Parts: sequence; C-alpha cells; structure tokens
Amino acid sequence: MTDFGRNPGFRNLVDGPVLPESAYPGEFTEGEIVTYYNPEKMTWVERMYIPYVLSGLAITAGRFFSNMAQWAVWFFAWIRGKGAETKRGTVTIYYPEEQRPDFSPVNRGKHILTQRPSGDPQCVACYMCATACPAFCIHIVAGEHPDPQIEKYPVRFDIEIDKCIFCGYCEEACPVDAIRLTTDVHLVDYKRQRMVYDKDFLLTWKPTVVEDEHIYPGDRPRED
Amino acid sequence: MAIEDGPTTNEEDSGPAPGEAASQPNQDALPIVQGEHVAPDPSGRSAGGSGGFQLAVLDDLLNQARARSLWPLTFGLACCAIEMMAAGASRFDLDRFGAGVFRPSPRQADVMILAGTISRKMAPTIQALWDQMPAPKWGIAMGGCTISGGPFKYPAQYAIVEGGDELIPIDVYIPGCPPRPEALIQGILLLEEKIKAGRKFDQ
Repeated sequence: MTDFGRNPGFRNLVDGPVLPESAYPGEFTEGEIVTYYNPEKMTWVERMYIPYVLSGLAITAGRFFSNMAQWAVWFFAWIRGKGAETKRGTVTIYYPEEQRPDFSPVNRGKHILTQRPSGDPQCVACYMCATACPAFCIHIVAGEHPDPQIEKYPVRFDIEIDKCIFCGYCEEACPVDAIRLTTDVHLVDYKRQRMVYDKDFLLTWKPTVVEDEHIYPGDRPRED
Repeated sequence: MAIEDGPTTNEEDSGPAPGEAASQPNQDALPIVQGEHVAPDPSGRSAGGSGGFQLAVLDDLLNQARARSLWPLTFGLACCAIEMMAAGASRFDLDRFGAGVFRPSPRQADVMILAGTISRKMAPTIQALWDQMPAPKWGIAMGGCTISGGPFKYPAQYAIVEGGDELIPIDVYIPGCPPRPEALIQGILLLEEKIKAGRKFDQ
C-alpha cells in the first residue's frame, strides 16, 4: 500500500491498543495509533512573509483602483451627457438624511396589526401566529367579541420585539391577514423594558389602502 | 486631570507653590468605588462655589468630544458582526459619526458593540474585555440574541447568556435579526445623544 493521500508531515506513533475499523481502507495499519498535527515547517516563501504582505496589499489596492476606474468611466460618460445611465463606483449613503435607493421593499421590520374600518384589529385571536413563531415572542389573550359575526378578538396582543427574529412566519400563518411586517427598522431604544409592543402600539400606523372593507398599509404591495 | 475645589491638606505640609498645589490630586476627596460604571464626579459641583459653572461648561465640552469620537472595539460574536462590518464599510460609513475607528485593543476603545449570540463559554472573555476598557465606556447590545437571548431562549437551555445586560451595562438596545446597518447607525446616534446630554440625560 502506498502512502497516497497521506501528508508526509504527519507522524505516526506506533504503540497502544488497536484502532477500530477505519473509514478509509489503507489509512491505518493494525495496532497503530495515529496522531495528526500540522506540519511545522513553512516553505521559504512563507518564511519571507513579504509575498503574502504584498498579496494582501494587492487586494486592497485592487479594490481602490477598480473603484476609481469605475468613477473615471462614469465621469467621461457624464461629460458626454450619459451620466444617469452609467454605473458609478461605491457611493456612501448619508443615512439619516437619505435612504438607500435599493432598500428592499419587502424588508421585514416592525410589525403592525391591520384594522377593520371601525379601528378594531382584524385579528381573530386564533393563535396561529403565536404557534408558528419560532422565537415564541407573540403572546395573545383572546376574548369574546360583542359582534356575533366575529367570534373572538385579542384582548392583549404583545410582541416581544427583542426576541423576534423577523422571519415573517406570523404573517404567512395568519388566515385573515391581520399581522404584517413593515419595512421600518427604527426599533432602537435605551430600555429593554420598552421592547414589548402591545396592541395599541401595533395599531398605530397610517392606514392608506382600503379594499374589501379592510384597511391595509400602503407601503407594501399586496402579494397574493 | 485633577479637579480641585478648596485647598488640600497636604498643601501646607509639602509647601509647594500655589500653582503646583492645585495640580496635585486630593486622595481623600476622591473615593474609589469598585465596580462602578461611571466614575464619581470629583468636581463637587453640588458644594457650590464659582468653579461650578466653568466645570459644567468643561464637562459639556468633554461630553461633546466623547460623543463624536466613539471608538468601538473590534469585537464580533456572531452573525450581527457581519452587519457591523457592513456599517463600517464605505457604503454606510461609520466614520461620518467618528465611530468607524475599530480598535483592536480594549485599552483604546470607548464602546463595546455586543454583536451576536453570547454563549456561556464566551461570557468570561466579554467580562475581561469590558474590565480592560478605560473608564468612560458604553455598551451597545445589537441583535435579539444579545438583548434577551432571542430564539435561543427557552426553558432549560444551558448554552446562552440571556441578555448582554447580565454581563455588562448596556446603554442602547438595537433589535433585529440581525439589525440592518441603518439600525446600527441609529443606535450609535442615540448613544451620542445620551453622551451629549451627560447627567441631564432622561430616558
């Protein structure tokens, strides 16, 4: 059996009990304990360090010069009046003042509860979102609705936003489209105690789209 | 920098010039409190006197300087650190807020961004790094795992620290899984407001 596939830097220790059967036939011989460790020797190129330093610098400089070349291409296109349709180099987004133009319209952020025209939540307290939630962050207390057409309504609907992982399973599980995730990412706060969003807070959003006698948020296209 | 209100007791013993005496720290007036997040105020502003107003202005200047040069620790725990790197890169430039200088040494860092799941194995390291950071220091909890344990928090779990505030004092919480770079920028701006307000800060 040849030593094919075995690193010559590895060393064998030939004493001790017999190993169980190897996954690779021919890897071990009978009565052998093999200790693996990384070879200590570096090649002379690695010992010089300088080629690796230079290759690292080449990556950084490559980014810089490719970015600069993209900007130069854009500049000459801009002179010819084709600046708008030419790709530019890296641009910093001045965030609090301007939003990313390619901010995803389906980004999952803060939750909202959709409403009936009376302002009540559309939720029927069926616990499907709380069951589907992998982080167990939705807590519902159901109550009987005075309207006989509607069976139940949530007396309390709390979302622990600090446990939420924004997976969107709750809005997938909802049978009446009562919970939705908006693109809002401004959830930052000084206190952990304020990170339980109750029903009143989840209902405070600007309703913009009215269809089928229900109110929906207008910032997201409805996908059916 | 020593801040003195009245004459010290060792001034008459050693007998230096008045200018030099004011620069010597009064050991009795500065109690050393162990485990305190913010050092006790040595100016004694509540005692009154003419120095109070000047020290207040100096304090505000110091707070402004601290708020605009937040140096974070290069310290990523899990996947939130990828978003932290994205926030530090050229697209969302954290250097615009003076917070892009990620320091590899805790001795030079001001703010620790806990970015990711805190396993129990990592907790002593975080504690040690926090203790090594010099005194005006702040903590940011980034992501659901760091705030409360997130999806890994369930009864009888044994591997995760349920919240970064069990280890270090946290000033700003950023929910998200992971939070976008915009949310991290928002958190840093909130922390800047807190530092600029100083002791007038009201949550």
